[in-house]
Amino acid sequence: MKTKSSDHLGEDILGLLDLSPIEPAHKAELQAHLATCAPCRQALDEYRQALEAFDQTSTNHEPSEVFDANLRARLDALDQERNEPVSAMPSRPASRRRDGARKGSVFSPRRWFPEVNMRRSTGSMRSRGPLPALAAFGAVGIGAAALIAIWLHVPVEGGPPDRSNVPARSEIAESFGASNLLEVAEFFDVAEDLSLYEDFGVVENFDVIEDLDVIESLDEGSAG
Amino acid sequence: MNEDEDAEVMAQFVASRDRRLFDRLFQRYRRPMVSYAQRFVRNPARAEELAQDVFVRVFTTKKYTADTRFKTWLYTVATHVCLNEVRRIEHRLEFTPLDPASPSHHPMARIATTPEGQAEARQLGHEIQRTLDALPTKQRTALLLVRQEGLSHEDVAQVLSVSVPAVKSLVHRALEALRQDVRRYQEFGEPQPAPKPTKSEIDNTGASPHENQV
Repeated sequence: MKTKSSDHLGEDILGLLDLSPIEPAHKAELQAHLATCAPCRQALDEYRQALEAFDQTSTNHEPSEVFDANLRARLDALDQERNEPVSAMPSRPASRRRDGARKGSVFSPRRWFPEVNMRRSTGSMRSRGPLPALAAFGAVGIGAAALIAIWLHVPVEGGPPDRSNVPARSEIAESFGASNLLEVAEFFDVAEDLSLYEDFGVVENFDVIEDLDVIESLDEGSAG
Repeated sequence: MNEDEDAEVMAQFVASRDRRLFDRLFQRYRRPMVSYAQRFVRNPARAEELAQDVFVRVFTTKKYTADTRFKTWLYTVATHVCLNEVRRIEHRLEFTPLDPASPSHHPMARIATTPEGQAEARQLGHEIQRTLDALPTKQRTALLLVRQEGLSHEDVAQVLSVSVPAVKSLVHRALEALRQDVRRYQEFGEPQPAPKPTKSEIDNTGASPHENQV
């Protein structure tokens, strides 16, 4: 038996109030407990009063005389709309076309999303509505974003990048209290790495790479 | 007509679009649907409109199989329609609470025989109504469906898209809240009314303070 706060019955009390199925044996067990537990008897009594009050808050409402007629009119209109031949659609009056556009074609999240949830929950989801338009809009947006990203990462031709904000080497060396960068690199034991970076200027020069004679002359020089 | 027949009739209607089949279901469920809607909006005219919306959705549905319990399916549709309505800000702004000073206004007042008894019943009825309005929607709906619509816990679980044990918990928590009202009323006689939400509070949150709780 569950124990909960002030009374001992917890959710099992729903079985005694006919709000939940309960095994007869378990019901007898609960009633035996009630016979010996005054707080639980009081709790059960309070629950009964609450249920009685709850029942009284709502009364069964008889539909008005116009209820059936109004619904039939709506259903007739739906039937009429459904039975209109497809070929007749372009010749509908302009006022109806505007009405149709206002009701069916213009995307309104407030109107559409509850509709989608309803259709999904009731198994009547259809592939109409602004979903294809949304998908197309999303695809175009993603494509545009990709193009912009590619464009931003392509180096601009026609001139070296602006390095006006980059401090001069001498300034960097002075900030470390050295006369040149090589001293700084040797201090941090990264002189070899610095030499690699120093050579990058040659590597970036595609004219030199394409000129194989230059490489051969370098090999000869190193061999000599 | 039993409930299995309802499912069969509905499946036949979806296949044939025969209005007579639809009318059979409509005649059987028109009153329960209007009453159910009124438990959410407490406005007879609006409740009828919501019930009409439910039947329009039933009428226009194209996918229904006879192995789906019709009553459960219908209450699922109705619950969605009604909850969409009560979540609308406009509904909360339009809603006018019952006047506590109005004699015999509340249904509970009708069951008491003496003037004092009527006043007490009316007062408790207002407290219960206020608590119901403040309950999370799933708790209130679970209690409504189990107690007043007579649905089983399995059906309610399907309607609310929760597990069967969760239904039991929802019903118990809703009932516990109502019980606390009874206790307060018995202890203090006339409890202080809870402050009504202002328009700015409603505009800011778009929901009652308990709306999003389960």
